[in-house]
Amino acid sequence: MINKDIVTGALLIGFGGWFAWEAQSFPTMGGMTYGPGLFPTIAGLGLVLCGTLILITGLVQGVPAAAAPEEEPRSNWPLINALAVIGCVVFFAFGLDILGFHLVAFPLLLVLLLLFRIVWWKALILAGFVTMLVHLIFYSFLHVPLPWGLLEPIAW
Amino acid sequence: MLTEVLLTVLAPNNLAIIAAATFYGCFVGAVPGLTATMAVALLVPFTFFLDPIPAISAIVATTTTAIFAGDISGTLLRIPGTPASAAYVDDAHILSQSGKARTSLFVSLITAAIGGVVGVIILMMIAPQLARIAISFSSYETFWLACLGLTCAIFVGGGTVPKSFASLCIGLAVACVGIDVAVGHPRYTFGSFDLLDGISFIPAMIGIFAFSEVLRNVQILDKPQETIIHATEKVGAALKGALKAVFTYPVTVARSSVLGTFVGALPGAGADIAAWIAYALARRFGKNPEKFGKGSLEGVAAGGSANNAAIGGAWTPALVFGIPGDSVTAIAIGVLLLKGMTPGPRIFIDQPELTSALFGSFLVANVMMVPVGILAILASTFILKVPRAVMAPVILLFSLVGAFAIAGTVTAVWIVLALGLVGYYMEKVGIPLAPAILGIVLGKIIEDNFMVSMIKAQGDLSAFFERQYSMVLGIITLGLWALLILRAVREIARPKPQAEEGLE
Repeated sequence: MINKDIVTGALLIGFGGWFAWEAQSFPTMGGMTYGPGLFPTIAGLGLVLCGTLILITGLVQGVPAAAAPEEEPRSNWPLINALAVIGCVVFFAFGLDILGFHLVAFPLLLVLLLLFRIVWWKALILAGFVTMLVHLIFYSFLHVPLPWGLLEPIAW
Repeated sequence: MLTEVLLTVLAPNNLAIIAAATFYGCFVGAVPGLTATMAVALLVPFTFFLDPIPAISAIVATTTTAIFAGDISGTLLRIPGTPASAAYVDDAHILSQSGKARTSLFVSLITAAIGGVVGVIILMMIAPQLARIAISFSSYETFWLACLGLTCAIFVGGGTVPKSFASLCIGLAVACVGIDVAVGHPRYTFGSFDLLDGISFIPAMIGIFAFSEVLRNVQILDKPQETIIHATEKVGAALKGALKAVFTYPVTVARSSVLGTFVGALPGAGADIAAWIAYALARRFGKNPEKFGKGSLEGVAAGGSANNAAIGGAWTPALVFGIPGDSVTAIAIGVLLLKGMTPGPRIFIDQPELTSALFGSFLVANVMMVPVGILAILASTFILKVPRAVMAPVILLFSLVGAFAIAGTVTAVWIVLALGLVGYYMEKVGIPLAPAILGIVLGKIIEDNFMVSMIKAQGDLSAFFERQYSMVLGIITLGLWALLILRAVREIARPKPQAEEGLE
């Protein structure tokens, strides 16, 4: 097991360095030595500095003394659940304009509820109910233009 | 003016909104793992469609009750519903094990209302005075104030100095995205049209506070639900006992309320830190310090009043200077900006009826919390039984649709995802979130005011120390920086064991 401070430090150095590097290409204000690049440079260099400090503390501490033994056998479910949630968001983002709100919201809820082991008929009812609830609150009540997508012909 | 204010505050639709927000806050606060900030982030898409006063009332009412309701799961499950209840969760839980669940909860409720009211009263007295000073502030002072806010956030944010500072820099980096103020150059937009305006604040907040919460929650679905302690106490007796307890410790409640307000006013320090400090002080000066941690009603009273007082306190810098005192007021400032109102001393001069109405709504929200809170205490067992497996997908959908509703483009959904993952990772490795939030809000203010000042002074940096207030603020800020560096050096010389860090 690798000390997480080392990973975090390295990530921060990498991101900060890139951020500050990118800022060097920004133009300056007339007659002054700085401009739009100043604040990104400060933020980027700040990240590099903190990243270095965090990295050093991580290296000094070294690998944490054997982590407490897991009480139960590690299961993969936490990871699968988290990845499913992320996947659902990606699906939602890509599908929203094309498929329309209802055709992304309902499957999103259904898949997650089933994955989280809700009985199928309860999951179906819940997914349908919440989709319509969101429709009512946001579309009918707050007048948010939720896209209809494929369901355009039956829009109401 | 008074009648006008009363008409706004007591208007039926304002009252209805406060009532609805109170119920909502109670529910979200009581469910373990859902924080008050998340409640507010999810509420924003709705407030977007309201007038400023009802919008702010809704935010205030939600926070107030959510912070109180955090005690419900703390008392019955030993899991603080919101971080603000963590300080006295042991006391509350031990009390409920000995059959005094309702007494303890009523003490929480009553002291929460007292703390809340004290916080508002102090806010009402101090804010206009501060505004009178702040009205003469120019871009130099605003620059220093924002810097001061950020420095403060590092100080009190918890976590080591490098980590807090890293958090701040992440926030500043996020604030840099979009067209810059000085010459209009697009920065880090990757050709995206939607990013020219910068990363929209509300979707960012929804990502950091709601989406990351969903991610955390779905990973602990397998854990068996904790056993709920069923409260069987007689309601009347419990209420009587609670009132008696509150009257036994008037000094503790008063001290914690005042202290909570001032701690809340510090940028970066919220209700949770206020509760910890008030609890520690109550133990130090209390009548029976040995009972603390073993079921002390005094401890519950101290923490319970301080965390609610902190809510009012956090609004002081937010309203007067436009500098948020915690994540909730940061979101509220975002809402006000969306509505075309810039928080700052001008509001007090130009629209006094607005600020008065706001204070009125605060009071109403605190009063309304009491009956709703009693209902919530009676129904607590049902609230705590809602399974995570159902909550998580529903919250996820509301986050995504809410972000879309605010920004009107799918880019908002991507922002939720990206910043949600960042927030999740930060929490996981012990980087505090508060400095990043303030960085996002204040980064723009600092840069705008710096550039404006520099254009005025033609690049002469000494201009930042020429005006009277500006010099004082500048010296305080630089002094705090020196202290921070000292602390960082000490931390590196004597590193803490890792286990302690994760606890933010």
